[in-house]
Amino acid sequence: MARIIVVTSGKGGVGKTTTSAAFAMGLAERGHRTVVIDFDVGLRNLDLIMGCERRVVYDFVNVIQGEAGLRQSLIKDKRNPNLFVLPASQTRDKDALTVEGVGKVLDELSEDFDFIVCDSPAGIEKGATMAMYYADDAIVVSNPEVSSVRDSDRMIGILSSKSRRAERGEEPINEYLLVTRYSPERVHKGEMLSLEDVQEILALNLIGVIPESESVLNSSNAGVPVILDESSNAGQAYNDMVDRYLGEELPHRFITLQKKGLLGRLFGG
Amino acid sequence: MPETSRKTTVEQATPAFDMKAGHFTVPTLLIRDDDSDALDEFLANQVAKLPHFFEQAPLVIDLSQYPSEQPLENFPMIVGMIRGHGMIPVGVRGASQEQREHARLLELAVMPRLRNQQGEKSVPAAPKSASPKHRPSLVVEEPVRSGQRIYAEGRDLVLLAGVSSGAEVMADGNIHAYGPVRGRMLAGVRENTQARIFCRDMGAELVAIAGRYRVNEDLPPRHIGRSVQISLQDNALQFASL
Repeated sequence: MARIIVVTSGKGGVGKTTTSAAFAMGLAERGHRTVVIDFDVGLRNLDLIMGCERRVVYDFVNVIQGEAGLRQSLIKDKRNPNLFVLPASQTRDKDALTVEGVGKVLDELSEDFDFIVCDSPAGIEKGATMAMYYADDAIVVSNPEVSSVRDSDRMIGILSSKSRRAERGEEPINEYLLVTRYSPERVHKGEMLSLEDVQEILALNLIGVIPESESVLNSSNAGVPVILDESSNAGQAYNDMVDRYLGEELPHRFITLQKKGLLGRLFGG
Repeated sequence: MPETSRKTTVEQATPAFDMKAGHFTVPTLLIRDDDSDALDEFLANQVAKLPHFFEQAPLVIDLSQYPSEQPLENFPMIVGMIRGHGMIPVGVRGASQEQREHARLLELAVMPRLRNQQGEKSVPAAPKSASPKHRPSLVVEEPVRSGQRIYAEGRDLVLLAGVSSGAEVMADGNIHAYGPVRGRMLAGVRENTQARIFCRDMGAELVAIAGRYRVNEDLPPRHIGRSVQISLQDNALQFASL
């Protein structure tokens, strides 16, 4: 039986798709059969970030509507045979998603995969609630900035009331907080919320801190999940995050101000 | 089943209608006396305090403490008066058989009974008393998240964790908040002027007792972030350090 994880946030542009791609790749790299699904019908990005945009034939909506089978629609990642992508439709809209339809697809995927990662769209409307409905775990992504934190807080409230587990009175979704685009320099200057501030407001299990890094944009331009860029801080932080998800206890890196020596300032980092 | 073309499958995807249970917190007007002039003044005062709250708001008329089982002679006028003040009466509660018939003629719904009513009128033990018999407090242990609403009906509310900005907590009785409060707190919501707010870390967006309120900007700065007790005296909110 597969574990279903939703990557969600409320606020747009905080790093859900970047995280979904990195997280799914991280699980696959550790030997788990993983599929990542783009729930952002009409505004798909996951295929770009995964680098498979030129191989999309059928999409999630095609499968739900019975126009194509799962086998035909899943795109196998070229770098790791454990990883598959189910892209979103670009021409349809969110009304094409139904709770029963999504449930059937997830049931079918559960037979062959260990992990199903659901990349949620922004907002709290149908697309987002559909992505979280069947989740066992939720990774709530937030930037250390006031509007993102408030939106994440709203999303956490919704997770505890609109999921299938909530409706059935089952054990609630396991919630994890992932702080992205963290910059210790800006925190030090008082321009950005500190980890403590964010934790105080959201009170969630912190599964990772991803530092602000140019490598994220470079990776998405190249269609490579940033976790594969082992020289980048963001890539390494994502690796730590996957390990923590799988049960390892690791200290959070890249959260303290680095005093750069002359060589550090010359060569960046 | 004929082959459906791609065009029509989108429309057939979701059913056109769905019936679901909705949950709403609706202001309830308790009527113990049919003095329409007094009611007119009372409604005018309520609306003046929270005009946006009552504008086009649904309202339930509670007759459980009305001393007679006979329909009120001026009930149609009372219903009209409520509309005149901008509210929309949607139903009655705690009404006798005859009163329910009367309400039906005016196309008002009969709301579900309160748990402690047996289908008969409940005679108030102490008439004109604002506080009902003691019910155990509602204790909330989890943080109240942005967008969530909690209502402790007929009792006190105890919050062991925080209240986020954008969340709303209400009680007929007192509110005791042990975590940081960044949302809205409304105590004594059914005209219980004796209600108080006890808060260990005050940063609320809005505080109110029996409808008298203050927004964050108007809170006394010396109490922000600290332990404070709020009470109502002479129609004004009083703040004291705890």
